[in-house]
Amino acid sequence: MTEIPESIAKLTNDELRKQLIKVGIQPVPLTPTTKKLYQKKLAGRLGTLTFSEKDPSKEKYDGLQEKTSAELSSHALVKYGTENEENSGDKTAEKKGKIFYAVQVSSNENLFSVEQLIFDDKQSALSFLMKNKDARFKRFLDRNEAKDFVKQPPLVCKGDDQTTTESKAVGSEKPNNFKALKQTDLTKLAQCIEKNDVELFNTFVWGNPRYLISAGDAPVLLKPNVRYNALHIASKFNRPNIVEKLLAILQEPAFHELMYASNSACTKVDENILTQRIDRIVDLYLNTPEKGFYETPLHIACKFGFVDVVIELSSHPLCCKTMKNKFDQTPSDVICGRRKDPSAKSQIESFFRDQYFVPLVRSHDNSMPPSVGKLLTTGDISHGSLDLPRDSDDPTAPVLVVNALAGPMASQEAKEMQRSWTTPDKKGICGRRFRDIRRSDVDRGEERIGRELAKKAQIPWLEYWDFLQNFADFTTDDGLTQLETYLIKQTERKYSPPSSDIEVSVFESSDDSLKELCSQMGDVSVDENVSKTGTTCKHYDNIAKEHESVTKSRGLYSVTSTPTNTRTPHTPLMENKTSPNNVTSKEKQLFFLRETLIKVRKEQMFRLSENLSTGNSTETSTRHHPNMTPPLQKMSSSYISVNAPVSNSDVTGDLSSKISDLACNEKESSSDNGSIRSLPKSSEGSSDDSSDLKRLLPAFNHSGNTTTPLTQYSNDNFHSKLTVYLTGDEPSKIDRDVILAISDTEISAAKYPHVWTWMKSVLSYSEDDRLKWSTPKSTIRRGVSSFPTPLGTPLKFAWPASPLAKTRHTPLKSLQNTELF
Amino acid sequence: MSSTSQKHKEFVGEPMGEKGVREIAGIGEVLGKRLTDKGYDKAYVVLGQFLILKKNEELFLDWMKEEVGANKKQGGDAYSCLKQWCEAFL
Repeated sequence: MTEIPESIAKLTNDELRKQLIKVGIQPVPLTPTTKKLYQKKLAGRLGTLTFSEKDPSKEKYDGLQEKTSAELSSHALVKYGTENEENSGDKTAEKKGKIFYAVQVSSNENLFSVEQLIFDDKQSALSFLMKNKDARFKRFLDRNEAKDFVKQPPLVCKGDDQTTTESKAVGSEKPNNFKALKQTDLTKLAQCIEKNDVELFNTFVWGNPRYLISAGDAPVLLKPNVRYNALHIASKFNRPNIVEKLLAILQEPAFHELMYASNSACTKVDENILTQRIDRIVDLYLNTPEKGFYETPLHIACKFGFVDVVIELSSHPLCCKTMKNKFDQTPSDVICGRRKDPSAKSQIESFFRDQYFVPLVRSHDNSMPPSVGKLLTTGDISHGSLDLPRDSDDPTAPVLVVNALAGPMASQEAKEMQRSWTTPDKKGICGRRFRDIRRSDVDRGEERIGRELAKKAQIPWLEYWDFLQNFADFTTDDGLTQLETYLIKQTERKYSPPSSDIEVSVFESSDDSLKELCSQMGDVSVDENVSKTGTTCKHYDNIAKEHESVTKSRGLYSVTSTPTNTRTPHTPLMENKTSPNNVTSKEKQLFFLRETLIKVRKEQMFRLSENLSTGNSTETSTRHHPNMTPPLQKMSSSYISVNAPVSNSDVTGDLSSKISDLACNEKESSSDNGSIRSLPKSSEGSSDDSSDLKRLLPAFNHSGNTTTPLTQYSNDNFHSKLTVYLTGDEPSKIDRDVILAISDTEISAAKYPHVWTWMKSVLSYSEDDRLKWSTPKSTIRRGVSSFPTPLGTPLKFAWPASPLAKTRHTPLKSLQNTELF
Repeated sequence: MSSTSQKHKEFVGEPMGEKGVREIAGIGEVLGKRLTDKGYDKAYVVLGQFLILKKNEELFLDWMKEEVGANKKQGGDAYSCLKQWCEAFL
């Protein structure tokens, strides 16, 4: 300490603090205990003190610490030994005279003489005890008494042994494979939650499930002094990601199997027990109060106004929203109680209001027209009273099932939704379109309308898909993941792994050629085609030229030379702005063009159908065989995607309006059974016309290309061979339905390769062909036999999936029994 | 004390973590500023001082008075706040 220069030592507290701030040390408390340390620090900073390599003072300090810790431990040892004595209450004896410590060893060991077993000081007695585990010792004032004690046969605690063996016999459970965690480990996990390190959290927890589930099958208290479990901490530090992950992991059956694998190694864990376990642990996690305010994680999140965490927690069906804390407040009472700005208050409050769902009810065999059911509340769904009342006692009456759900939303919104779903606006185009959809699509029409309404109102949407046997929304990641897993399964079922590789490669190559095609198509050059094709083509090209000019004059498309996005996930959308200019002369030419094109197509069809080996599709073979059109429509879809940037706003517009338009066209064209489609003359004529136009343009290009080397692609029928469709090897209406459900959701080939491949192949068929796909028999809902499986993870909004899945089959099952009789 | 303030309740009910010194009951804007200037910027630093004074009420009140000029009420509030916290969590 003498090294501190006087100038510094003399400074008063305030002066010293100022000096410290000058050298860049934040204000520190200066007390007699800290002052000298900071003086030294200041001196060091000022360079007046030269430190040696190793700070001597520090060394000294360390030494001191070691010494004290050694003392402490020995002290602790002594204390341990004396505890019993102190309890016996003869403290005064110590003062009176000598004390003997008699050690009693088990009788069969006569290795020690009596004298050897009597010690004068406790230390040696204790060290002796350390070597002989069975021995026990007692303190005596009289040496003789001590001798007697030593000679006595030791009392063997047989009870102890028995209980241990008994417990072993009774509890046949093996100890958990995972080692028990120390508080330091738990603190690490707590810190990782605080830092929002989801990855690390994941590895910790999957590495040892005991991080989350304690020996008593209860949540682990990461902060035992406040009795915080992981969810409390995540809520307190505003970590929605962790909350989501945690709840997902806890509901993962695999996690529990990992935890309890050792218990039932041979027998698989009973499903019932597993769900009970999951429910129990999740319930405990969500609703256990902590020690300070007796608050649940939801209280904490509400209190601090963490909207995201509140969403995660309150959307879970097991989360109790009416728990009371120390001050008799429910979570909704404490919203934003600890936050300065109450901006989030109304938002959080909305989560506590009753939430409504609008269901769509269908009969299980689709024998009755679907109807929009009456509103359901959160309570209805979480309490499992979703079983729909049967109107009649007739056992042959179809079973009603909820096929789709929109929600949750406020009651006002729900009523509005219900109204617009049942009675669409009759005046607007919207109403007309909905009517068309409803009529044209028996299986999915109502769903499509509901889906669109929900999308417009930005309300979560769920519908039942028979092939998944579950509810899903394909515009969400979760739904797409389900679809992806389903397709993977389908692929696996169909192929062995190597051939699926080939499949991918085929598509990659075809993708390349697609690009080629697109670029060729992009810069339609008359000369090039003329040179390649014959006079007929020349003729077409002339028309194309005119056609192009038509499109240009209408300002609908610009033929771009570079395909910007050949693998666009968008379904080819043909919604267009209705252009005011009416070109009748051009339309005549178009009519002609169409006629000729259809002729060409027919010719092709004949040629191709001869080559086709698998022409077993009954429905579609009449006019358009699906297998003959792929390249053409591939081009068309990619062509449209080329145009996507131009008419982007339209593309994102209404999908189903276009579909319905097409459906109308389709009806018209199929009804007259002729090859020439009459031009629509409705008020929306120009719109319909332009969509036809759009279909024709690529078709034209295709006709030009049939004679070029690219014909190889028109000849392939790899669609039927290599692609897996949702209901088997043949495309069906379900494929179209799912495509419609996916709508314009972005699908990345990297994330969902199978979905992408499937989509590409489905989209490669023309709209017409797709409309012709029939409903496979399996789509008729076998309401009784197909039980939806609960999702592993809670969906943020769409959580009704799991309770629905649970409640669904119980009523149906009972109904089935009654039907059998 | 018959009734405790909201601030007191909030402080005593949970771990102090990184709470600032102003979150201690009895320490408002002014005292908080003074304490921060003197280096006691976090609640745990004041807790350290409180512990060094061996949880002694008289010494702590004295220290509060000397260091930042807290009156008896303020010092008392802070004292009971820290004391109860220690009872719960230490």
